[in-house]
Amino acid sequence: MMFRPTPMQRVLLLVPRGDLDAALEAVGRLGVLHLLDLPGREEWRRSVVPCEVGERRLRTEEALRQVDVLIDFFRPPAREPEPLPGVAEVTRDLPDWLAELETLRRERTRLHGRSEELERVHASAVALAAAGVAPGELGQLRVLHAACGWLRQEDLPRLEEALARTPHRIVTAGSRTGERLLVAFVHARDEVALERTLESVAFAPIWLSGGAQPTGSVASLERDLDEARASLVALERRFEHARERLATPLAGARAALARELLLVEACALGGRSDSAVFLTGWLPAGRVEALRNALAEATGGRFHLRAEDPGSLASVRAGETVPVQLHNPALMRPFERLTANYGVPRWREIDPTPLVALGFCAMFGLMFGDLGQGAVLAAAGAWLARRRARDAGLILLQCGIASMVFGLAYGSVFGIEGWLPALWLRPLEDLPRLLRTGAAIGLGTISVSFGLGVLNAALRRDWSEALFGTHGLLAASAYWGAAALALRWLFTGEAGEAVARFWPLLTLPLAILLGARVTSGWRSTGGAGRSLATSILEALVELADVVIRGIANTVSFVRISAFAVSHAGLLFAVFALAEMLPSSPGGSVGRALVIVLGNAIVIALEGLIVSIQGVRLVYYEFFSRFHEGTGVRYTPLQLCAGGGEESAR
Amino acid sequence: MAALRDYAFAQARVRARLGRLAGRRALEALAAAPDEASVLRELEARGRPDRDESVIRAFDEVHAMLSGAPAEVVARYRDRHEWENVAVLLRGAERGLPASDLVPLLHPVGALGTTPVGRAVAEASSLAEAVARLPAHPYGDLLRRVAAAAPRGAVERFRLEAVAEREAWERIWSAVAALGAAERRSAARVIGCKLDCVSLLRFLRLRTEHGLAPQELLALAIRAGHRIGRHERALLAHEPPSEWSSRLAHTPYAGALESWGDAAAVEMGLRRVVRAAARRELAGSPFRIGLVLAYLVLLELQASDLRRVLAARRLGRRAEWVCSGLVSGDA
Repeated sequence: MMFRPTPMQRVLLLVPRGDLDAALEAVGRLGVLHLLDLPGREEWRRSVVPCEVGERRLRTEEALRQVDVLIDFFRPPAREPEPLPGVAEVTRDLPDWLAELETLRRERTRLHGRSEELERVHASAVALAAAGVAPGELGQLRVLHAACGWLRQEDLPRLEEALARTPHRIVTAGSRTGERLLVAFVHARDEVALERTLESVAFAPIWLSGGAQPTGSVASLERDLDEARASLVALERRFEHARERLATPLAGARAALARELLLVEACALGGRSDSAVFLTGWLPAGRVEALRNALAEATGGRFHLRAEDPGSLASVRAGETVPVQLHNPALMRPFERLTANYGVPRWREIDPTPLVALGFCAMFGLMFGDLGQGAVLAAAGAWLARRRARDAGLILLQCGIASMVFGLAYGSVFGIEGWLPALWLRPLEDLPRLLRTGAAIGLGTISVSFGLGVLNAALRRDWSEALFGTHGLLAASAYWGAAALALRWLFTGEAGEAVARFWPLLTLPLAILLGARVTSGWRSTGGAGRSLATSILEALVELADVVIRGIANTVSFVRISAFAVSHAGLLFAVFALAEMLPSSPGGSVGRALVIVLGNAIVIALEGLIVSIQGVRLVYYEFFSRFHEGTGVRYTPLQLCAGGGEESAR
Repeated sequence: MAALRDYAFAQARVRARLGRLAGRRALEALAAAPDEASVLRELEARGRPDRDESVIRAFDEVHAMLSGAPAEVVARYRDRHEWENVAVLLRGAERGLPASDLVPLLHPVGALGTTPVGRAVAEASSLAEAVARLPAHPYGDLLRRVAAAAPRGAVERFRLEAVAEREAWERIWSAVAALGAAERRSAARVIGCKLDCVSLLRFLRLRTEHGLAPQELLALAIRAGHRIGRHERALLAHEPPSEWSSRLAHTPYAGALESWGDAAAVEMGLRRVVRAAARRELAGSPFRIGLVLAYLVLLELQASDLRRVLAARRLGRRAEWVCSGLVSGDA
């Protein structure tokens, strides 16, 4: 039903310990039970102990981490595993997959290292040959010791500084990006010092590492290099094969483990006695039978289920939160996001989503009224709705339609005002009427929000708030009295006589409200430590706040008119710019470009600003009187049949 | 103008934070606490300023206050914690410690501290494997070169650590070099002084604990600093430590170097010099990076003092012993 969340029931479920997994699986598949932490509840704390899931959780998390490591390494293509493997099956296969990963990783590191070393040696051999240095001869030196290798450009001054007091000679034999090929000579007695110094400056030696030597011919090095590259290609083929082979098993393993983790978390919310497990939670009243049937099938009838209405529960009367599932027609459902972003209503309260949907679209249309631009937005919304952004698309589509409706009312198509007659008014020509409309919308919206505030307080059985609250009936009466006078003045221009006649309508509720607040303030402290004058002063300040906020919130809606004018004004500026271009053939193209670009900018920029203003008006001016948003959203345990996304509280 | 605006905001916020640093009296009260639990309670109430996570968070906050080259200096100063991550992982790999023991010790900085790469390195079964698994930037490629240069592939862990640390500090200095002249001078008075002290301690430790040759000392030396230049580095590499104090008499480090036989005492003395430099910079122009860096240096000194207090309470050391080693505070 619109305006009211889905009626809920709280269930208590009792299953034998051996049937717990099957029962949770059934509950998760049905996806209707919003589980509560049973051992944490006061009434259960002494009679049950929490289900032990610590070891199972750790095991599952570790396996999930390992699967993530595998997915990170293999980056397999996305697959839909059907059916999901069992957790036992996954944990049986996991060591083999990890071993395969390790083998491939080691082999890849080894081959890459070999290939890089050969490349370096090959480059060195080519550079040394070009410089006329014979590596074989360098190795036969007796009085001198020579070291040959690559050094980072920035480390050369460091090497020079380190060897400053050691007789040495450094010859540059070649260079490549950021590196130099050096041959360093020192006296044979300084060999150890040189080698340890070179180690500290990250010198990449050519023959000190004991690996490939540039003593062979360049041709033989090229042969070795080709072989190493071929091995690398073969390894990559093996890797690709493993990647393809493991794609489905890994996707299945991940989904199965994520599902297992979800079940573990659900299990942790249960409490156990010696032989049975208790679970409790909320679900829509209409789904209790479905849950009963699912459990009967899963456990062979070995369960007990008790469902209770929230109204009959003492804990709910004492303040326990009932989760709320919003329930609106398909076109209004996307606006539930707007409501939920502020906060979901409490149980028993009115769901403002239908009003948000209507109000937001109407305000958007008023501020952004243009038949052509609205059609563009609607088309974009329809396109988005068919893609993955269904909610955003539907909101845009409806805003676009509202914009088209008001475009007809303003007689504007892409800012051109001559094509269509204005069915209502033209924003730039009838500003006072537009401003009055904005104020009237404000009066209407604030009046509705006062009404909903009173209604919500009554639904919560909070009669004091409903009558004497700052958003209660008395405050609302005063506002409505003032609103009636203001509307009369806005639309007829007459006020003086009416003010005198309806003055009591305005002052009487305020006087009663003042008296009520002074009394309640005085009573709440028992008169201790607070004088009557202080109570009166506090009540007066509160009352002044109510009056000022009422006026400010109402006036705030005048921005709707202001944005309608600014939208029309921006389009006027676009056309004025286009008119300034010469009337040559080139000028016509320029004019068309200015108009198209101007419209595009207005749609993007003004559309964004108007949306922000709409949200602001809804959240701050409308919601603040009746919607605290402190309810809890209904989030049932849900396990998908396949490997898709799963969720739980 | 942007820099002035940044500093206008930053200096106000940094000065507000300076007021929250533990004063001498607070540190002495902590040192005189009856047991470790009461010190921990007090530190919890202050948001555990002794923890590296808190210090790194403060770096992040200060970094967000600045933009351009000054922000880069702070970022690199913060990223130096990454070489500490490298050191932890290398030590763990050398001793064969399990990854579950090492991962909690990593600072939340860089790829090692914030991504699964840190765990992958921690799971390495040997030092060489750990080096092979390090991400290429900022230390992986460099350390792999050092490992490849080691004779017979037997790389020493301390050498890898020393090279990574040298790289970290030089990266900070290269960011300082990118600042404008006045900013560079301001940064040098704080970070340069800190770098000098780090260099001096490295020379002392690498000489006395590892017995390195002068050429190696110079190859591993940090080529950056305020008062320790090429000439001083050569002196530190070739002269015995007993001569350092007199040969560096023109610097503020001479006093600390007099107790060259006791590395801990030298460290204490040098930390006091750094603190004095930071305090002096706080009295300078508020529109310079020196103020921000001075705050960060004082924050680090405070963290280290608080850790000393905590350790002393755990071991039951006397309050006088704790206070004698405190560096930060008002006094």
